[in-house]
Amino acid sequence: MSIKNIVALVSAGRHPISGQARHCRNDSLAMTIGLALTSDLNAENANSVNLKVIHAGHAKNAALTDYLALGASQIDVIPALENADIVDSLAENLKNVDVILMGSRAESGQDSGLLPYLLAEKLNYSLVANVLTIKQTTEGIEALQFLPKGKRRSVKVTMPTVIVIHPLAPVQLRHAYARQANGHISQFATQTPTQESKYSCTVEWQTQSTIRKPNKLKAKENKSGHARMLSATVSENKGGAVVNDGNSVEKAQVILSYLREHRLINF
Amino acid sequence: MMNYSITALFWLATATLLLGLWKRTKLWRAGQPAEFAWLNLLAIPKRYFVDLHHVVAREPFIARTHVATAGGAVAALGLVAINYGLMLYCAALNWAILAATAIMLIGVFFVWLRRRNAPARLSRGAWSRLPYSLAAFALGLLIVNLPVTVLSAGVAVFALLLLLVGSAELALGIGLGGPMKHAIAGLLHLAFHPRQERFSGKLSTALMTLDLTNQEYGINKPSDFKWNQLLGFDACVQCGKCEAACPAFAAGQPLNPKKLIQDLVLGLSNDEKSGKTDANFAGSPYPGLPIGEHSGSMHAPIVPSLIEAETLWSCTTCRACVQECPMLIEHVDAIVGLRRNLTLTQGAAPGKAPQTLENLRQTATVGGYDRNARYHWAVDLDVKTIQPNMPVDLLLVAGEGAFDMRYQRTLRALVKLLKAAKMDFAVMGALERDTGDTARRLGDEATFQSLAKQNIDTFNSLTFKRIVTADPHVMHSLKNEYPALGGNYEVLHHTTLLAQLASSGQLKLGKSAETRKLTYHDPCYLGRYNGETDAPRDLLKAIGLQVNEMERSGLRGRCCGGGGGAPLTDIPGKQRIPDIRIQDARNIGAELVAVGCPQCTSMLEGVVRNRPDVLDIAELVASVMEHAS
Amino acid sequence: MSDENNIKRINPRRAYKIMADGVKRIVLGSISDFVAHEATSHHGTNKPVRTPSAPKARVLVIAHSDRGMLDDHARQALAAAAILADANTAVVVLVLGELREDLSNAGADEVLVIAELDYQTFQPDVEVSCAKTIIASIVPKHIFMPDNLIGDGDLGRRLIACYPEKSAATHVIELNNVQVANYQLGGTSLALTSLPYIVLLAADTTDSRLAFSAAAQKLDSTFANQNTAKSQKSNYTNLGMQTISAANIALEEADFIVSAGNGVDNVTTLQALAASLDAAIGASRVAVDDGKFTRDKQIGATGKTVTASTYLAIGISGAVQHLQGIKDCRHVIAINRDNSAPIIKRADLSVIGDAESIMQELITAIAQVKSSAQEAA
Repeated sequence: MSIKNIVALVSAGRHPISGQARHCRNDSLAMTIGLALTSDLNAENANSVNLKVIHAGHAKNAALTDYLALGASQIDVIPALENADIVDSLAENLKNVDVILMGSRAESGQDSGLLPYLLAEKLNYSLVANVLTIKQTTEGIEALQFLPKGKRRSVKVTMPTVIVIHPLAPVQLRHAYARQANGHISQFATQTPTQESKYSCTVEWQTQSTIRKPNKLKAKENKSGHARMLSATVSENKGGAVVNDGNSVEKAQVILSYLREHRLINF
Repeated sequence: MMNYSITALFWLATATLLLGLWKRTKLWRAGQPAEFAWLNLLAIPKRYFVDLHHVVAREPFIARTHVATAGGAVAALGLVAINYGLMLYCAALNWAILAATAIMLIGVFFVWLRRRNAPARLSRGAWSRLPYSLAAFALGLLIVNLPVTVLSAGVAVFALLLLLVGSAELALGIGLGGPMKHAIAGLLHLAFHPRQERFSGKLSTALMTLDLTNQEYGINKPSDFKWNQLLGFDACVQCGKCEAACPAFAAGQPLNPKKLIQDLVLGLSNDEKSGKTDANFAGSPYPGLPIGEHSGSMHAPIVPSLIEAETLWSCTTCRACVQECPMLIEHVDAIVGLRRNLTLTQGAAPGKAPQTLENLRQTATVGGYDRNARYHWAVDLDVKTIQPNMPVDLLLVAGEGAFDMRYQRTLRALVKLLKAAKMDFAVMGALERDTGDTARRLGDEATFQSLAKQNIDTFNSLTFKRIVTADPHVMHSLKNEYPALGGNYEVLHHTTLLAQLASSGQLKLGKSAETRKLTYHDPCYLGRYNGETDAPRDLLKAIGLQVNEMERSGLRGRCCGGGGGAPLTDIPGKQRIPDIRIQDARNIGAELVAVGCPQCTSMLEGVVRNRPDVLDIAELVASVMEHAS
Repeated sequence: MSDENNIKRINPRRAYKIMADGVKRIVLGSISDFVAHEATSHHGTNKPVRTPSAPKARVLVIAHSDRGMLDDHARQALAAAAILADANTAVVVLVLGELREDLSNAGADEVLVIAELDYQTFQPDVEVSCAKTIIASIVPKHIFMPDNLIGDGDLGRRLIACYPEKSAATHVIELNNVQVANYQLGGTSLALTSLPYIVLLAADTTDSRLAFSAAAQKLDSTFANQNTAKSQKSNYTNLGMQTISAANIALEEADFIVSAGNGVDNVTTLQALAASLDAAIGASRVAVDDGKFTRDKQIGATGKTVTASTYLAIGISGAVQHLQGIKDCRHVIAINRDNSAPIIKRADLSVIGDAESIMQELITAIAQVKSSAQEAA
């Protein structure tokens, strides 16, 4: 089975400080991987592989021009209401696709990272997340997965499949104005804006525009009076402990016991 | 018999020369059309003797050598044209030819002398034969014009052979791309130079504006240059003064402006099928890149087969090469033209450059900051922030340095001085966007133009008479590059304004208590780009400080390494450019380096280990005010 | 002091025991001056036990183990479940992968282990079906999982997609009895919702050190295990794992970074220390400019931004630009000669002294610990 249709799903991002519309880096990585795979496959054999870049939202969104500059020659827009759930309408348009590529987390909306999972479930496609690189094999897609602490895992997955790209994918994003000027954004004509979500897992959120540090959940301690007094009078030292005295051996021991106390080393 | 032979030889040589020129012209014409005026041909003598000689005369020995050699040759050729070309065979003219050839021979002797102990910057190869072939020409011509009636047949044949060899060097040079190509191409380059303003005594340092709507995306292949740029490359005499001045070359980064121009010459003249490499280049290579592995042709992409991208990204756009070039070649235009194509069509700027460009597009700041925070350093200074319908005399544009805690000290000093001088001024506040200078140097003309247009719209909504800035890069953009996009402003560097205020007495200054030995580092974008070298020195003098000049200063000042986005692309070399500049300061025992640019400040202060202190002139002047009060 | 007056004094610090309910009891009749410290042992014998005797409801925690242990992130999910559980609710933890430690101190009332589902093997279809079987049998009120990259974030999202009618929240940064919060709109907005059915917790939401212990009763998991035995045709084939050595790992990914500044003269010692800690090497701008390290090692605003759990800054004064680059590091330890350097204010632990000798002693100490651990094993 060989790949014929690849889709890269791209979302609209925004700069966290200026609020300016921009590409979502995670999706750009996925799209760039798709572009590279497409051109590799087309160079190898004659039957042409097609990469479609699809965005669910508004065609006039300024963020989309970034994707053109980053290499998409055309972006197909599925009209969607702002904040509307796009799973159903996307799924409708992603039948008969071999590979769906997308970033791990958007930077607009809820950024839950759930969309690929909902799509895969709905379409009954396989899914591999945290992918760094992909290549085509005879039976499907071979993906290299990111695991923490320098671990990598190779897995083979059958198509059709949803591939979720990890933010550390070794991809160089290249923003070129000429591509932006030559690219096209077109709208799926037949689609009407999608209805309210049927997925209750997208719960009602109340948003606050002010960002504060989260409060850590702590077990209520039934402490002795002495301990309570201690914790009330000795405030958490902001600068951390400073060890001035002792010889080098003792100082080294201080560091070692700190590392062990906080389980930062496993010996 | 002899006379006829010389006439024949003369016309043969002339025909060869014209044929060669026609051939070469065909190559230049493969370039893009450019505006030019035939009448400028008449301006060649003035441009040669004034503008070009002004550069050559910086080295008097070689200037005199060239006057004797070229002057003698031109005179001799002119006389030969009259006497032999028109078949007058007049004995008196023979005497004149004799005199001219003798002068030429003396000049050639000094050319030979110089070649014996040639500095490393000079190219060898074909250029090494020049003293001999020119001597052959002069000697041959001298012998045949000797006032003897009959030469022995042997001597006559020998003289004719010498003359033939010498004439071949002169006549074939332009057609075959030999060293003497420079004579013809050089003169034509003076006439059709892409920056004609240079000959009217003005500085011409703004980059050309690209018409993006017309899909102008910079230089991809040699034929994308304008034809007169290609002609300009052919004018190169490979003297290597650019190489000696280039900070990137000195730091061991893979750039040599001379090699770059010669690579472009190779590209424009190479036959597509020959596959000839740069192996014939007989000068210093790009540091770290071996010779003989690159090739190109007129319609083939230049990067990377002819020139590596890292060569282009090593440039700090300091214009030292342009300043030094006796043939008035514009290296920086070529480099930025090539960068533009890489950035605009491939997004291929290396290192931190893509992130910076993204920041500029998304936040209108280089560092990705909140532009509402640009003037936070001024909150406690009681400074007005300009608004529409709030006319002021002077608008202070801080630039990216405003986000740098170090440069905020300079800006605060400047504000205190402006207040002391009772200036009616305001800062730009959140309305300010980056000028786009860095984007433009990195080849991102689209981002530059977008930022420039937004800034121009903002300026148009405000009422002010003049702009002052402490950042020469901001100054260069606003003053020299915005006019092409419709923004015309009077822009002053803070040292210029402060010097004016000090000399008019509006700013009363005492004497500085500073006792450390001081030097002044000229920012490239203030000195070479804007010609301002006096005001900073006047200002330092006004507060009683003596400036000890470093090895390279004024218009020939050495770059700090901070321009052109070079710290962002960060191409590795053997050492860092600011280290070289600080060594200049150490060499004269300076304990304090005065600067006038946020880039220079951060580059020079980034030098590790014991180095002179770095202070902006505004800080030095403001400290005098504090002492006085 | 003399005993001449022969007045009987009671040692106010005489021996005591802390009972299971946390109350201090003086040990009568004891004449020893031995002072019993508050128990810090891992078995929680001195802590009150939380486990309800006849639970009316259950919450489920699912997490993968790593080398037989739950990491701190997983323990936080478990602790969160235990803290939020009321007196009649039992906390069931489903450990995927081998478990070689006792979870009573971590707050688990009941423990299910499926050793075959190690995180190193990619078998999401099997994991989902096992989890669904267990969910169906336990009927939890809530499911808590760490939102991590060793399989729980992935499995959690797969489960959320399996139960579209249930509420869920991912990347949760704060939670309590009524609601959870996370960052949305690219981290520019804080969003709140009531405590959903499935909660995927980001790191550092909960203090995993509990004031109580739990029964940690092991349950039979064979009923769920049968799924793994079934030879079903899978969409996924594992082709093997590889590990990048700490020396070659990208700084952005490294979890432990040893970083050198101007105060490090001997690069060899630093490299040896990094090797013994299995840490990646970073450097300040000054050290890079000085030619001691390549440019790709530079950490800071003009270099790389790192997110390591541990950042050991040696001889780094801590310029603003450098501190920007390490703002997301959880534990910063500084070794510095100057105790007024800015890094000291940022560091969680600062040791003032000569970098070279402290590094040497640290290398020695680590070697000792490692060899004694080997002997023990």
